[in-house]
Amino acid sequence: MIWFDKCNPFPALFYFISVTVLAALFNNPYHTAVTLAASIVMFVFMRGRARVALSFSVVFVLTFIVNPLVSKKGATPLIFIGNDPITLESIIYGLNSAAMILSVMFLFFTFTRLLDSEKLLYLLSPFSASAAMTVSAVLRFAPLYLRQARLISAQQKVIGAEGGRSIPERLRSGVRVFSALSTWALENGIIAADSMACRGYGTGKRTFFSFFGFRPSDLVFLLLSAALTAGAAVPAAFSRLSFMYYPVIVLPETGTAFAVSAASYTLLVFLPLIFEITDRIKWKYLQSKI
Amino acid sequence: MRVIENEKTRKALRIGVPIVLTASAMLCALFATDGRKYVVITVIVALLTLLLFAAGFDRRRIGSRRLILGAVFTALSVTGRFIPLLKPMSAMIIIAGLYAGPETGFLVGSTSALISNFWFGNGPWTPMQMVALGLTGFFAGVFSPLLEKSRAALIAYGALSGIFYSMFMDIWTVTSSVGTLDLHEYLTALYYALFFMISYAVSNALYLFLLAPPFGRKLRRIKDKYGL
Amino acid sequence: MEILTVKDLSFTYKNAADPALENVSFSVDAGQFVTICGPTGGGKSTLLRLIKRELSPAGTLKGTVLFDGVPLSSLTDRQSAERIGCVVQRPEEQIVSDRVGGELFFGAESLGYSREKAFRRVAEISDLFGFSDLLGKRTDELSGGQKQLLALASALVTSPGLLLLDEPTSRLDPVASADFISMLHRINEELGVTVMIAEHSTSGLLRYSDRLMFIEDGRMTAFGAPRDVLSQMPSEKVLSDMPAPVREHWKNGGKGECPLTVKEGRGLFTYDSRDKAPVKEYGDPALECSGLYFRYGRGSQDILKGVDLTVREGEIRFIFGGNGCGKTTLLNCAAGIERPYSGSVRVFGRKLSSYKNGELYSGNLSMLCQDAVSVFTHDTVGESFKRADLSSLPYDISGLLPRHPYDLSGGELQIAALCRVLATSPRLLLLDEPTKGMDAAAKEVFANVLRGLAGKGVAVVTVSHDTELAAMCADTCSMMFSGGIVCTGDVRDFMRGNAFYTTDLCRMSGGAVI
Repeated sequence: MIWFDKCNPFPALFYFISVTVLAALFNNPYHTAVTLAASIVMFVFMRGRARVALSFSVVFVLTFIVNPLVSKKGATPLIFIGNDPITLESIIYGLNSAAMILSVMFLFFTFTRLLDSEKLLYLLSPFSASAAMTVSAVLRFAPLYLRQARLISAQQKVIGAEGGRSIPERLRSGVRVFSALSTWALENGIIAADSMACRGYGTGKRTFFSFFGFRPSDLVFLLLSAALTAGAAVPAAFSRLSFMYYPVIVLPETGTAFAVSAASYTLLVFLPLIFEITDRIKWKYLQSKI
Repeated sequence: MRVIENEKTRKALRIGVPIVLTASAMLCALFATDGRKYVVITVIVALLTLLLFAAGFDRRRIGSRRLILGAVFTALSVTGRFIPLLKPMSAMIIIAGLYAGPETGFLVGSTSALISNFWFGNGPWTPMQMVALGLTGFFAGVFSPLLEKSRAALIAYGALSGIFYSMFMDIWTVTSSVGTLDLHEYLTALYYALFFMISYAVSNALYLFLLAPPFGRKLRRIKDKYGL
Repeated sequence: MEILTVKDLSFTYKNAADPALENVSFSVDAGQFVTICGPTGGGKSTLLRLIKRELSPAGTLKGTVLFDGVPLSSLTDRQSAERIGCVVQRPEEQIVSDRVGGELFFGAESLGYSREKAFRRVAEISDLFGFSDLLGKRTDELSGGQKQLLALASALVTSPGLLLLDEPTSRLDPVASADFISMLHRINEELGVTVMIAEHSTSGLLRYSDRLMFIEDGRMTAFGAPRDVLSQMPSEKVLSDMPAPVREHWKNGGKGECPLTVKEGRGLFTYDSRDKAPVKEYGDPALECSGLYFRYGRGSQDILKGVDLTVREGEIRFIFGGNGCGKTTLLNCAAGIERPYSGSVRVFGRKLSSYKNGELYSGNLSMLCQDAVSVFTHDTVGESFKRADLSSLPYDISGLLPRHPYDLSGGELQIAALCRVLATSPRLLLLDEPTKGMDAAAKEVFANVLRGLAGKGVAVVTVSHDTELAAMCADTCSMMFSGGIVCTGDVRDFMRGNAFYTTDLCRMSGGAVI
């Protein structure tokens, strides 16, 4: 996803929020299927590992199970657990929500992969410079602390100060390492804070600079996403497009409104992939001209 | 590059964006559905809380040491989530609120959730988690006069906040899976998640018991040594 | 034109009885390079911190400090931050951003520079330092030397007139610290920035210094051009931190002009005979590594590529080598912290795996890792010595026991940590960079402790960059390169044969003494 990775983070964020919100709002099998398909293709494009996909499917199964167990709605009981009915409707509803959660997880996988710390700071800083600064410092400290925790526990091991292997002893030595790590972190935090103060932190209004530009194609992407979001949402005001699950399943009204909405949504979901592929073709063409 | 250069526009946006967002989300929810799309509303409300908080946090000028103290607490609680057997994340957040005040508590809680989820999986539940853990730290700060005095109260707060966290996240579980939120469904979900609730409560209480007093000493030392 | 004028400066820390600085007066012209020397705890850091207001400790201050003719206290926060830059000892902790670019922009962002000004400054500085290709790199992936250069670069982004450096190279290896000093020289020469640097190891610094200052026990005992200052014999403590040519000059009576560099000192002194390796009998093998191969993951690069190493009882072995050659990994494998995927480690003839239930770490093997403070997990040093027999330790640390580990000086911390490691009475001692941040006097103490241990038959393996320490106490040395041991030999032969991993004295004397 080279194009999407280089895209300005704000349009990308808009896309992810828009798709997630719309998928949750429509909550019907057609939208879920489209989202799932697109998110899986993106997952493959991002070179996601099979192991990750497997862990997602565990969540899928869990979410699927929760609904029929918890929800007592629906008119068609299939079996009873004790006095509680498990209904056909709640199973279908659970399947749909689980698939939606799954697709959202795939989407967020892509989002998290794309969102490196620079982009995160870029997104955060217009809202809160202090929060952005905190996040930046945390991203700097967290790997440092992990390394120091390993060092402390290795050092404690070689001076014979690590307890035995029983759970309470491991817990106690864990707490000791963590406590030593905290002392280290607090002392060194002062150095970091002083180094910030030395370079003028807190003397006035802070600015934020980044290397992100707003390419023409980013603007096109943003405008298209906005238009398609409207195209998917607005028809819903004129016609009942959502899927009714309870007490019995009622399909949405089909017609022009549904067609417009569904088509817009489908295009929206696949939009980054469309840009990505167009970009690839463009580069092939550019290179062949050289 | 700043997205918006003009200071006034930035300010207006900071207040305006959340309002417009909620309004449009509510409208969307009402229009597009039968008005029962709690999952979207839950996420939006969570996001809003975070945005408003971030904006408020930024208005007050905080010095580099306060800021780094927050970052250190956050990094410690994120690191805590990695240490096997020992996951003192919530305990650290409570300690942050306790000793550094409600605002830092909220900041540490919400940022810990956000950043650790980069390793443990971000998703639409992230804002919920951010709010839940943020509030855990916030109220620890609010009740700090009481909690600092009595260790029993602190441990009780730890256990209660574990239960609160679990209950809060079950709102997400139910709304995301069931779509609506009624009492019966919610209670059933709580029943199925009882094990987690108990484990949160117990581990919070345990780690607060073990970690809070040494932390108080460490912070006092730092305050004395560097004159915070 | 004077950029800094200090008049009758005295300072007493908040809860201290005695002043840390007394009646210090001097002035520095714009564009000068000032080196400050003196023993640990003598007041060097305090002086620098009083000039950089953001770092000033709490206490009572008398006297005046003028910056550009204006009293420090009447500078605005912004002026103080922008005009006076600062780099401290620890490269790791003063970096606050997770990316190189973010760190470079930090000062410009904090002072609210316009986009054009910020980018222009950062562009210039990062081109000068060679960071332009690294802007997106994570800061924790940089080497120690690069981190310290980054700290220097980001202090320069706001174009300060005065740059203060508090022992900036004490935690760097010799290559990195030479790079750092020559970059500092360029900044002083080309950008005209006034530099004030406090440092223990002065061998690369004197030739660039316009002024040399000695601070001992809170008093300024000398200030002037280096050659003028050194025309009188400094006190013993200061002299031990001076470079080899200066030490030899005063050892030989101090006749004529004092040489400042190895080049000037070459041929000046005569040595009767070449040091010979004493005939020494070592005991049984304490550590035997054979064919060690190690890497972190199946897909990653080999860090150790078939290391063979034997160290005997009573032998002090130093292992030298550049960053990333696998020295630390070798020690970790020998100590059982990391597991090699091929090859074997034997300690006193037994395989590591045959030691059970912590038997290895009580009375057999112990190690002091890189960050000595990680030995102490309690609020006082004493609590970590709970069950230990203090009288059996080679160094009296009773004065340090009630103190907090983070309140100790570099030298005190290292010696206390060494004592804690020795409390397990190991017969094989592994040390990883044990003298980082120590002054010469503290190194002397450390070397004596090691000698004493070897005399009792303890085998010591030290990984270090510190050739001076090796010259004080090593028996044998090995050089590691790219995951293997390249050569091993007696310390004297080893240093004579090396052009780089050798002492200044050895270079200057043509190998007669080390």
